[in-house]
Amino acid sequence: MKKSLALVLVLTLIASMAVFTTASAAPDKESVIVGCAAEPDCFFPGHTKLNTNMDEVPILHNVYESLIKLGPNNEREPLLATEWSLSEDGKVYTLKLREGVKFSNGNDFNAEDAAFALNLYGPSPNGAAQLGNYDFTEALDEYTIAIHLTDPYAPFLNALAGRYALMFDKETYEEIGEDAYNEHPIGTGPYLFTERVSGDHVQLDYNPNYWGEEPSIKHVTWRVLTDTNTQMVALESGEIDVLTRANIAALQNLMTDQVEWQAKDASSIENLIFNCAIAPTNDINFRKAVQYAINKEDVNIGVFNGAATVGDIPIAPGFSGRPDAGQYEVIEYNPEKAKEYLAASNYNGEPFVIATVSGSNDEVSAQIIQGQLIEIGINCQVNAMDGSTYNDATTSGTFNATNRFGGVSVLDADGMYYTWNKANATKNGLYFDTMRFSDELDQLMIDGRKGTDDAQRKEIYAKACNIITENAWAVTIFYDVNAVAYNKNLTGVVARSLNGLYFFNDWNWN
Amino acid sequence: MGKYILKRLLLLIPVVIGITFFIYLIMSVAPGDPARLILGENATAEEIAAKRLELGLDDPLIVRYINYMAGVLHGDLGFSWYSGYDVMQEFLSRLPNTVTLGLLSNLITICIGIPLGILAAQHQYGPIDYTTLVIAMLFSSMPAFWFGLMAQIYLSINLKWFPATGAGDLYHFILPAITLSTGGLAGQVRLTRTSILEVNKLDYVRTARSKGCSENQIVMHHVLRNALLPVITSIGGHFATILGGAIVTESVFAIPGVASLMINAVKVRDVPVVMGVIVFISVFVGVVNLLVDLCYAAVDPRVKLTA
Repeated sequence: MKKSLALVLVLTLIASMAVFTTASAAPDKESVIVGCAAEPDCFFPGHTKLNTNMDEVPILHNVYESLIKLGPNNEREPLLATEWSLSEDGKVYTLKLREGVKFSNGNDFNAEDAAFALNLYGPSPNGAAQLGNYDFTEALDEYTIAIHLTDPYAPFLNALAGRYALMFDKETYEEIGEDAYNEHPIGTGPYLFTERVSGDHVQLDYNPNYWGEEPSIKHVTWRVLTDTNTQMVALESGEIDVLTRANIAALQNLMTDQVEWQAKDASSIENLIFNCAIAPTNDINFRKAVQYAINKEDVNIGVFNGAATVGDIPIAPGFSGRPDAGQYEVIEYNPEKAKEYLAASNYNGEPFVIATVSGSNDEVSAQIIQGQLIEIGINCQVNAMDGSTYNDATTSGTFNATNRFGGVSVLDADGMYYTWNKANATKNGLYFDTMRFSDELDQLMIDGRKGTDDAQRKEIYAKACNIITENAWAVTIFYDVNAVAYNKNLTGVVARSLNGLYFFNDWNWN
Repeated sequence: MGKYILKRLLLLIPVVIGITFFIYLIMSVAPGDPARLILGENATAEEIAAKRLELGLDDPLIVRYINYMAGVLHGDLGFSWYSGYDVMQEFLSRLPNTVTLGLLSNLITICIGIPLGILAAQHQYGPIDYTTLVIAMLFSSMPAFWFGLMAQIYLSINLKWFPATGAGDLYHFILPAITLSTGGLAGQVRLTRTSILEVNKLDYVRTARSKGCSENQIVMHHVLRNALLPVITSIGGHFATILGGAIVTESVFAIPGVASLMINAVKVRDVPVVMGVIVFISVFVGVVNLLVDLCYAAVDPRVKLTA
């Protein structure tokens, strides 16, 4: 009797395992499971009370829609705005909105919604950082809006493709408020926000009220996988179909031919920025010694297995306003010259402390730089701390340099403004005065963002970059990389400079 | 018995107050202004000041703590500073995963650890004893992240026997539970073996043996019950620590549990979430310890529970 029972139990176990294996192997052509590294938990684009992270942006861009869409090569395409024009003084954008668009709850989308959304985002701290020089928006008629700026802002159209140009339903927002809207997002996008399971996944399903073509992918599960090895295992076992923000070193060791991946220069830039207020970094010869002693290609190999682009100025390739090669000065790796500058400095072997964030690419990069600087005789120390402590430490002024990536969302040289315009960088007391600013640089940052002529802007930014290089205020190490890995039978997945811009309705199963 | 349980439950109150106050103190003195972290680097000084006021961060520490605990007494653990979600709901949605993982892992530890310990004791200094010891030590020496990864590669990717990640059904918990139990397995085997060997030396066991009882009878009826007391303590302690200590296993197998909720909250100084989890863990550990003591009395009639 006991033996029969044991036999039945074993057979049941085997049978259920077989059922599980078969079930997991069967592909569903209407569903996609996407892996992400951090849990998305803010689902209202302009939430004023909540923190945001990179991994919620793709969800937002598929539930809501922006006025303009950025294509795979950052080209501007119509989305909720079908055409746009700029006034002669560069201060007023007039946009014609798409007609016949409905929110997922059935309400019509019109100019009132667009004006309301932009007037909510524009004055908010995070919105203002994207919608530069924003003043106000007015609805001219049911499907036309005019966006007024206080001054011209060169990358404004790019900003209208970002998070702070995602449209929401004014009527529902006023009725239920921001917190409830965050829990029950309503947009015009191709997908409905169906479910959030804490720490596990977010479920999106096709929005039957969508104005555009019905997507072939009807269900998207956005799964949280925080560990890099776990992400690779899930990818290889087929438990996820796509992995965004994938680790390149891990992707290069994948042991399956079912997965493909691609990488693209990202919108963030790794900079070693000096604190010129304290010794030894208050000595320009010391800073120049560091400038020449860093072998950026080695850092690139150490961090990305060589997949990133080595940096020369704090404006990434592909950004509008980036000066052409030859317009700006480039510092090449030269250890002999570094030693000469070090000998000419007042350096006496005191610690050169680099503050960075532990467990990040920034830390790996800082450690490689540390090795290179020790080789020429600099007592370099890396102080790696968690993100919260790092943010606090940047106000203390007790370190000599920070090594941290800085991201921008408008893919424009204006990203420099937030680091190199003194009034902006030191506002709120978030950053103390590191003595790395000048009136000339301040003015160039303002002129650059207002400029409307591309050639003129390139000259402005070349001049700004040269000031930073000549004073050795910072060293641009590399331009970050965005990698996306996906099942080889899935088409339409394209690596993007801006991590958030994955549009699931562009994807198809073969 | 009822009085004893009531007394132990009442004793939990100062324990919970002590633990929560200590954690609250640490969270408060940790570097990083929560208001700045929440609002981001673009926030103005006025907005940060307003946020501090809203969160009560300008109040003295003791006032903040008392306000928090007053909320807890009314069943209000507050809302996450980051996600805005109700802490109680977040915790309860993840608790079943952690409890399932803990129960399964303990079950594996008990079902394998105790029989192996008995076997090793019965064959002291023999090949079985040494083999058991080597296997147990081998498992306990493997770091959980490595063991988990190997299990995923061989059993999930290659053989496709188990799902590699997630917390869908009971199947999803088999590999994580095995991974989590490996660390405690060696300790369980060693502890059971040592306890049995100690009890084996006692006079009443010798008497039983001289009466002609078989070895199996002696172990099962005379030795095991008395040898189990330290084993029960160890099992109780192991289960109590799982609630907050399964972070590596939860991370490797992408299980949305309580440990990962707390670690993520600690990273961003999300005080309401950290405190909410700590309150639950301290109560849980207290209750598990009480259950362990009740088990003593059930297993060994000589143990008297007095209030």
